Amino acid sequence: MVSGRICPESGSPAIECAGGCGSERCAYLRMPDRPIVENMKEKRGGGGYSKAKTPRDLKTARAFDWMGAARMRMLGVMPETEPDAAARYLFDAAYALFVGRALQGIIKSNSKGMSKHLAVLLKKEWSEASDLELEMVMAKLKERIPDAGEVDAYANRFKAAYWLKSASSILKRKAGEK
Amino acid sequence: MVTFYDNYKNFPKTDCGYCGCSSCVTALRKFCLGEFDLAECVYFKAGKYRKENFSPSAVVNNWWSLKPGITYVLPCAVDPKRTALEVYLSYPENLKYGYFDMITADKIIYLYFPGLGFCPSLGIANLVQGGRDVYGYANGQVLCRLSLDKEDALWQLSRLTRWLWGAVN
Repeated sequence: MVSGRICPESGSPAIECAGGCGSERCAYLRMPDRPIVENMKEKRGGGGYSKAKTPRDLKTARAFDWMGAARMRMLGVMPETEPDAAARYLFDAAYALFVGRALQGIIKSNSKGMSKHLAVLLKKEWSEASDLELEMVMAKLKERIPDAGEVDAYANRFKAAYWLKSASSILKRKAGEK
Repeated sequence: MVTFYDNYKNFPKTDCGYCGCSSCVTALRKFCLGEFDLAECVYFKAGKYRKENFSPSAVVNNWWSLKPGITYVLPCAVDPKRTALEVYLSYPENLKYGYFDMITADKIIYLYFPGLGFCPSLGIANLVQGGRDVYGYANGQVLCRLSLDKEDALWQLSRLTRWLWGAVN
């Protein structure tokens, strides 16, 4: 009846592996009640989906409520929402969640290098080179083990890189769907 | 007994991705199932956190489950004029990590939507709207009470499960 299942790649909730999962239709497969929804024709009120655009520049992004954006996108998935549209909402929610986490990492680690990467991501000008650069940053960070005193800054720098890369994978996926 | 949530409360909760898990919840859940070594976490490598303080035997998913299906209860025990519905959304073999991750659900939707609340420690979501009462449990069980009729109950079920979709494991 229901296609809910554990993602074999990550074991994570759908919103966290939407962009990184290797399986093409993973998010569709884990839509909890798709067979029920497909049989429901009658509309009973709208959802709370926010059409507000996500920021395209760093300054606005810092003041933006990314978690709130993720919430509104998730709450927008109502019974009458078509499964394909619901999947898009999930990816939008995941994008907001990932950028929000990256921003937390940037703010807490005060990393200027990562800020530049975020600016590129927000402008949707992300490229393979940016991915490679981030991979190099993460590999470099993994080369050494931090002290207990600096582990917070270290982990937050890694967090920024990791979630920027995850957010970029969502952008790529969305671009591929167009 | 140490619960999974007790473990989680003392965890770094940075969600940095260093260990390869998408969040600290996932890392800890895998640790409790013997699939992850906490030494992979940067905080444990740096010596800020100690493995001994976390219980590997914490229960991740102690909810029993029947096979998927919908059961209608007519009339609802709370109000005989209304309908209740109970549903199991997944097979027990798919519930290694539980069906809904209520910690993630709580983070995404916490106190944002009137009538929708979470208890991540117990793994329960509750939606109260228009006199209806809907409970979602971490094991994929959903209970709709005080629905107007079968179709209404189905709609409530669908709404809650779809809102929690992002938190499906």
